[in-house]
Amino acid sequence: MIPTAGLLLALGLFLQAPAWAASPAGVCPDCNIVLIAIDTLRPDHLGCYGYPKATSPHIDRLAARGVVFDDFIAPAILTPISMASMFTSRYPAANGYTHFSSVLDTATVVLPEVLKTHGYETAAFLTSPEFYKSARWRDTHGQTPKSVYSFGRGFGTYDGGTGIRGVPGDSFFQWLENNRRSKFFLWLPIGAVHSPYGLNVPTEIIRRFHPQDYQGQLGQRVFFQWSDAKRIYAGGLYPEPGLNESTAPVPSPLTAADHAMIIAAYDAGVSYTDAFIGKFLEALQKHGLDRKTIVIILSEHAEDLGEHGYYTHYDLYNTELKIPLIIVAPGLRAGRVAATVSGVDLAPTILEMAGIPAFHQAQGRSVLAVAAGASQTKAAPVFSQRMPPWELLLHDFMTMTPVPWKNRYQALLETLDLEAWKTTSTDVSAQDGRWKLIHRRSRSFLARASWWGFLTGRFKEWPEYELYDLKADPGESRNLAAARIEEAAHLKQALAVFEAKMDRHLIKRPATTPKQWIPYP
Amino acid sequence: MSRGLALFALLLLAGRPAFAALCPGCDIVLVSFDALQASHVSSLGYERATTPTLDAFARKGFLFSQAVSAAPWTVPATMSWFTGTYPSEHRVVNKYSAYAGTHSVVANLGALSPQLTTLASVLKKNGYATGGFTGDAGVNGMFGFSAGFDVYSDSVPPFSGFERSIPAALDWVKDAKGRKFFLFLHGYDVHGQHAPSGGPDRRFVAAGYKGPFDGSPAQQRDLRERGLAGDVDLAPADVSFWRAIYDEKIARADAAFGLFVSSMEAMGAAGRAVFVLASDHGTELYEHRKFDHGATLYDELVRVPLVIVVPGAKAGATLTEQVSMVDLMPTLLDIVGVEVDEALRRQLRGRSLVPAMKGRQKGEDAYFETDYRLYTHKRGLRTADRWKFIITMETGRRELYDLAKDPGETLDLIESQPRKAYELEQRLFRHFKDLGQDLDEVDWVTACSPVYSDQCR
Repeated sequence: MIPTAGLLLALGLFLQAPAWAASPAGVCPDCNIVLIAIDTLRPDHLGCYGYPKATSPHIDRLAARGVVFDDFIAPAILTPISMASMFTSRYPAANGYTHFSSVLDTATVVLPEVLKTHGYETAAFLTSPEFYKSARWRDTHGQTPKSVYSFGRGFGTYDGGTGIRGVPGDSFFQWLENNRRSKFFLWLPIGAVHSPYGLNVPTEIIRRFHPQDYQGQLGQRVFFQWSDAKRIYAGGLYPEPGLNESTAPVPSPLTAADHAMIIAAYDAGVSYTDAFIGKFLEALQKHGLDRKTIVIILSEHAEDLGEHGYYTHYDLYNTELKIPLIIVAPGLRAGRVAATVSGVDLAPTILEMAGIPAFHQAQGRSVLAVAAGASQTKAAPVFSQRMPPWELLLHDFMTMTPVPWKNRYQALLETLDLEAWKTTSTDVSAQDGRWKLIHRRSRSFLARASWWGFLTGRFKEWPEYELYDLKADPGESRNLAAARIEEAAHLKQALAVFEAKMDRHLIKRPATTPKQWIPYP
Repeated sequence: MSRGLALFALLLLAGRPAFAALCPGCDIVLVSFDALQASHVSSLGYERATTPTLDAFARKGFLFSQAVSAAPWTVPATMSWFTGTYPSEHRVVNKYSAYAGTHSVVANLGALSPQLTTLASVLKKNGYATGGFTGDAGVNGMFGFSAGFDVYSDSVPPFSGFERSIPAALDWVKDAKGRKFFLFLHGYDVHGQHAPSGGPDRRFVAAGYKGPFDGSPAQQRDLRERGLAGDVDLAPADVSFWRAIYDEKIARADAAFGLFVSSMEAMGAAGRAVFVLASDHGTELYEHRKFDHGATLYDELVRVPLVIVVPGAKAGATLTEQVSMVDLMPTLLDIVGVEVDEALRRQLRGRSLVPAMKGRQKGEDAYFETDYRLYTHKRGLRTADRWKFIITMETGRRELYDLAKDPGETLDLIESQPRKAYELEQRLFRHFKDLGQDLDEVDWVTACSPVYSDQCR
């Protein structure tokens, strides 16, 4: 009996999958983690997502050996709001970072702090002003940007030294060299793609995308300023809204050359960023870190480049919500993920890769298995919030830098209950890869105070729901809500549950804290 | 499981007899020494000889030295015994499920969780005569404790002790005559609100004690309420006094139980009886500057004595691996060989401790919770390797203790051991999520929901 049993035991062990097999693909508790957030980057302007122009050879080469997510959706359309959502794995209304003046509760769990607790050296090198901490700006405006209280948490080094709207410079590469023997978590929020497009991009890169001198009507020749972007709507360039204007403004048409210049300036920023990525990957290799570093590239939100009439990030369309996500990790085989994934899934995924249990407050879940090739069993809808209402941000900037011509819009906004709108979860969207449903909870606000309505002199009525068939109409131009809302009944139901949850979380929070200055150029 | 291992297991099993119940069809005597703190039991290391009868049973059977209750006071803890579920599931977590003055609704298992079946009901269905003899108050039948009992006695003055429940139990056992029986015997003898007959004899009180206390329920009640409002401040001599009174009550309860056992033996009713001696929770005796029970999750409340004696089974082991009192129901059913159907299997959150009694079981994490009087909401975890993590939900306060080095839970490691705290917090929240409760989505409101009639006026 015993000898037979012993033999069979051996046989059993032999037939069983070896217990000593490598840990799940992508799990690397000894690896460094680098999170590169390229603000305003659209995936479809990267070669690895199909862009025909050569904006991103380095990112493409990295993507070729990594996992590329084809349907990664931002939880919000504004930079710090979306980033806070990703760091907390909670949607904006639930994590409390709902406005540029918000400060995350110290009790709110954030990814950098969890990694720091678990032994990572943590550092951030900032070139996006939304996360800034700089004595220079305190001198100019008498205030310390408060972003550091939310985004600086958990970072041993929080460095904004190279200037905004650029790419990390010498201080970053020096830190990398000094810490090459530690296990580190790096966060690089890069502002070089965000408008003004091409602002700090070297001329030779600009020339690659825009070889001829632009001679059009837009104010700048090599970069695209906000003062122009805010005047463009639906193919027309509108005059500055005057102080006493009462007649409907007459736009001049936006020409093909204008559009080409804008795109070229945008692409130049992408290329400039890509060159930095190339330098960074070289540095990783030089220090012998490339095989033990997880590299993640994404953006906090993308950009509408005229598809919905404007050149900025304003609304819940996928031009603004669909963002790149590229994950390169030892043991993770190259591939593409078609499943719809949310920005709130990022932190749990990174933690799984680090071998750390996800925190219970997370509203997202790890997608590492999906990245490693498992098929997603059920496409749970992914949500996004248009919070804060974009127009209210504009109002805050106007209030802080009064210029006479802005008073008319400011006055208009101040006829509304702005505090209420600031603490309300406004428009929300849900999408599952096929259907996209937007619920216009702020339509009464938009009907009276939308920026584009004010600019063009023509406010419009908004439908309560917008329904898009993303397969047939990825550009979201045909609203099917009236005819086919029943096909999205599951999304409507999911949205109702989501909204109730978010509203409950918002009620528990005090009103937004005093304004803070964001050092936009 | 791979083919190879399955084949091996099958062959191994082939040479063995079928797994049999330890004591098929045996009687069950489940004794609750309400409010008995584990560390005041002599055979668990206490310096006073408080529990000679219980110790004798421990020598005859199995003493679980790390048994943990699912709640720190009577109502939710005992309901967890009777259902094998956690308070979050059976939902009998306060005296009232809705408190609104005269329109209050008493918490009742059948109303709150009709899908759950009780230990007595299962045993009754399997041919047992079932009788419960209690000291009323927190085990009054109105909470649903009487479900499945042929006889459930709670019409005694609240906080009565064995002096009431034992005679009634013995009468009932005498009449059970030949039928297999399940006896639930409960007494408040050790509880702060129980006055021993004739008052305390002060047998353990220091000879020269001159303090202001007399050990009465009224004084204990005052200390309890003061402790809930803030910390109590007592001189060491007074603390010793209260502990001496408590120990006397234990000794007297133990003696009463001893007489009960003799009577059972004289009747010939103990021969085929599985005895389970336990308490539902402990008692705070100023370990954390408070008195009584219900509002915290420290070891003086959640660690309970557990002794199981099975006639004929090998004896005298002290089992040090941690177990939870939600294991009680599956254990009893397993010992006496009652079949557990699919629905019941899905209900029971614990596991049978029979393998532990056979020396083949690892310790488990233990979870506990309290919403005592809606005054506080706490959730906690005691790991198999003796870490304690507690979270007070309404304030967000976390506590972490290394019980192996600091059994008194005096050194809070929450700041100095953030990784451990993080890991245990995730485990704790996962436990509740598995029970269907997302603790992050609950509004943790404190209010007043009385347990005693003089509260919340």
